[in-house]
Amino acid sequence: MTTPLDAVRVRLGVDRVRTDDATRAAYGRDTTENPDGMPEAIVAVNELDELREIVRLAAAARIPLVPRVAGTNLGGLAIPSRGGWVVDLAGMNRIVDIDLDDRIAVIEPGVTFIQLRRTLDELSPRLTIGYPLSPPETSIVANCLLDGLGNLSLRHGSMGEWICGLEAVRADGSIVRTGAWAAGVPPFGRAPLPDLTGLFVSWHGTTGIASKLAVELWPVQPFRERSFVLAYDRAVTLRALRELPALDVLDDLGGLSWPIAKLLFGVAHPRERDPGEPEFFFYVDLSAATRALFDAKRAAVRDFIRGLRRDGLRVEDPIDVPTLVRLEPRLAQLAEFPTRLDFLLDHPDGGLTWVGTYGPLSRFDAACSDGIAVVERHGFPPAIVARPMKGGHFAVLRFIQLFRRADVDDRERVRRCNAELCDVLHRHGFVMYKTPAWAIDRYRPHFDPGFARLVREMHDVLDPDRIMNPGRWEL
Amino acid sequence: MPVIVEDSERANILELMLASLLRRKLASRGARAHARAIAGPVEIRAGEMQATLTFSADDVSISRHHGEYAEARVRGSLAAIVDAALGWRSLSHVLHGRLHVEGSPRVLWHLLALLRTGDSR
Repeated sequence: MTTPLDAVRVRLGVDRVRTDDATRAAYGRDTTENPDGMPEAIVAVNELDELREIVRLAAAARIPLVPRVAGTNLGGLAIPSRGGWVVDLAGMNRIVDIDLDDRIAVIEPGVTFIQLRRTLDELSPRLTIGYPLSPPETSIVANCLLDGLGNLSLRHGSMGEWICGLEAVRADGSIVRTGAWAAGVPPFGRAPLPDLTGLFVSWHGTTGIASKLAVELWPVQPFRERSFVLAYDRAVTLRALRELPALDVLDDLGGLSWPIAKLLFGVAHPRERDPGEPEFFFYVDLSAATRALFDAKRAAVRDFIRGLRRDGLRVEDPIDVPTLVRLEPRLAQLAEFPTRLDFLLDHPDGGLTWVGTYGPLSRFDAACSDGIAVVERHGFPPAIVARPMKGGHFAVLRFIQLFRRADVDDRERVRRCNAELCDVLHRHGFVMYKTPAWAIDRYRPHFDPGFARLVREMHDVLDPDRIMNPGRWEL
Repeated sequence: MPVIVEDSERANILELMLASLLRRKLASRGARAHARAIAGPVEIRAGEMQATLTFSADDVSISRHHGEYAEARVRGSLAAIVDAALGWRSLSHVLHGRLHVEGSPRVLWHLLALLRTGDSR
């Protein structure tokens, strides 16, 4: 009897269907504390027609499909929680078009940040995409669809907002295009048609699998600088994160806590802070088309820092990245995009997870303080990365945990810590992005009933058999 | 010549910065000669952070303990200390009061010479 997987092998060739235990186990886990899964097979697709046919075959047999490229999200979202097939999209990696005039790239889901960077460097070094703090092999499409963020998010918001339109394969194998693209014109934006792009952003692949995505690019300015400011207590950095966006001169602004700095210096297990050393650092990215404009922006930032000192706050002068790199070459990771992040990804303990949230900037300080208390109570150093977003309309607040992934007790410890963090930050208005299934369970009592009902109804319409990444957004 | 950070999991970032820098500097024979000539503890204070570098014939150890018997002391803002550590503008910072030095002139001279070895720019 021919099985659906046999049909896939006939269509794609046996080499692109993997069912050995080691591969299935590797695709059934990630670096996080989320429970491992075990897919039936890993199916590598390279073409849109192949993807459509795989979806049709799976739909006919009601086999779950989990889309995946690098599997580096920290929400456990590419772990197959109900078995089925992992659809490996890494081979769908064509840069379909780069419109240099309108500054829009159309890409397939397997296109990585490093791939687009290299292409832009050759084609038009004056254009860039925003880069996340993710490995270079991360999928751009995945990070956009999961509404992650990048180094231009202070200006342009989360990456879901950078999408101009997309093409997706629905659960029945049909295709839909969204944005202005739906009208048969180039994908210049989500306006002015009904915005169906949102049906695929932050839905974690439960409404379809994106096969192409149009994303905004931005000009690279000739004058630019990233500098770091060391602040002796967190209030200074949090104030800078709240107030600096209002100057409207920065490309990016972020805060890092002391454990992140020590990890960058190669300390695998930072234990405690020397009371004399900075608790937080913030970095400031400036760029401008002219020297005069650049100098004016820089002067505005220096004035702000002098103002902090006039208020009695303890803060050092900015140190630019080239200087820091001369002190410690590993700090180049803070300025090279996309960045390698080996201090997190190659950590000897093997476990990397987070509670990454978006929330109101106005409640940043309280959320941060209460979050620090939680992680310290669970025995983790407070490794925090924080940024204002979209001009300061909201902020990202991330607590990163490194843990011994092979140790069952440590996984349980990090689960308890993250659950408590999730609840505490939610009380301050912060909600997890790339939302793991366990966090959705915790938010369940708080969801607007109308929202939960509409999510269910959308699934009824778009994926009635629940084959698309089941286990995600089940409300 | 090894550079040892005592209790590295609790080291402050000044200790970590200096350790990283010295490890690269001490690859040069000239820098090693200056390090051996210092032969004793030197206290560095940057802002509110402190590190004591203890130079011996075989290694350099770094701790954050108070350098009670330091042969020399250097203190300033972090920016001034970073400049000095990279061998930049030390004299200018001293003359303008951004960097304060005290102790043995011989040790200070060797420390400055050590920091100025190699490619810092």
